[in-house]
Amino acid sequence: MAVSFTVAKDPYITFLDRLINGSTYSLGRIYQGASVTLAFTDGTTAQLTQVSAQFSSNTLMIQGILNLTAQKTVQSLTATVTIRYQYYQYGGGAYTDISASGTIDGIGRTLSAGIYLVRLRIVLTPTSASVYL
Amino acid sequence: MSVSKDLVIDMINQYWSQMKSRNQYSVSGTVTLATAGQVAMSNTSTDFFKMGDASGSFVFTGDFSISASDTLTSIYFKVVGGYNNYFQYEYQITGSYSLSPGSYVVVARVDYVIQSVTVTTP
Repeated sequence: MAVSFTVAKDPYITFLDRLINGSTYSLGRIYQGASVTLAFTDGTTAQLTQVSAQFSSNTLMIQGILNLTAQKTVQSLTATVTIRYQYYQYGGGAYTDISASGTIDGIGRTLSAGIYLVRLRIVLTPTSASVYL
Repeated sequence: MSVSKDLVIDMINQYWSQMKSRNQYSVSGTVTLATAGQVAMSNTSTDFFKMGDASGSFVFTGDFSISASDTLTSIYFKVVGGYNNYFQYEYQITGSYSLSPGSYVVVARVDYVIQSVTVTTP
């Protein structure tokens, strides 16, 4: 039977937080890398520089610098985050890279020439909890 | 704005697959009963399912027995894993449900979706 319960203590995806922000841990250190590409309505693209990513609570924040030399209208944004999980095995260390990407379409924002700080904020929350006994 | 594929869900899904493939995690859980207090669950397990491009679910299972009628008030799961227990996370689900004496299998599912995506420039 299904019972309606509520989530009283949101885990806030702690393990993902440690995975992305894991450089402060001395064991199983994680290498973090991220890239963000903007596509414009004129068919051109631009990559953000100095990109960083942080996961805190249930929010993933990615930010970087955009240098525009001409006025453009942003069509979409594609972000990729790569994390390196280092582990130990008999005979030496090893690692696995995990890469995920996502695209946001239909932004439609027109930007004048200049230097911008672009922030991408993704919020993940639990929407329901079900318990079956 | 619409998200064609989500980063967070994708990373959780990939990372969880890595953990499971190496069996580098352990799950424990307790239920809290109004009269009997905390009871540890046996045969605990967990998994993550990618339900869509921007949604996913954690599922936990475990079982317990009670010898007298009682009221279930909360379910708690804790997962630790990775090298040197590198990560851990925990869920506590609360509610109220009357139980008769017997053995129970608990299946708890927590659904996640992307609540919002915001792109900002100065």
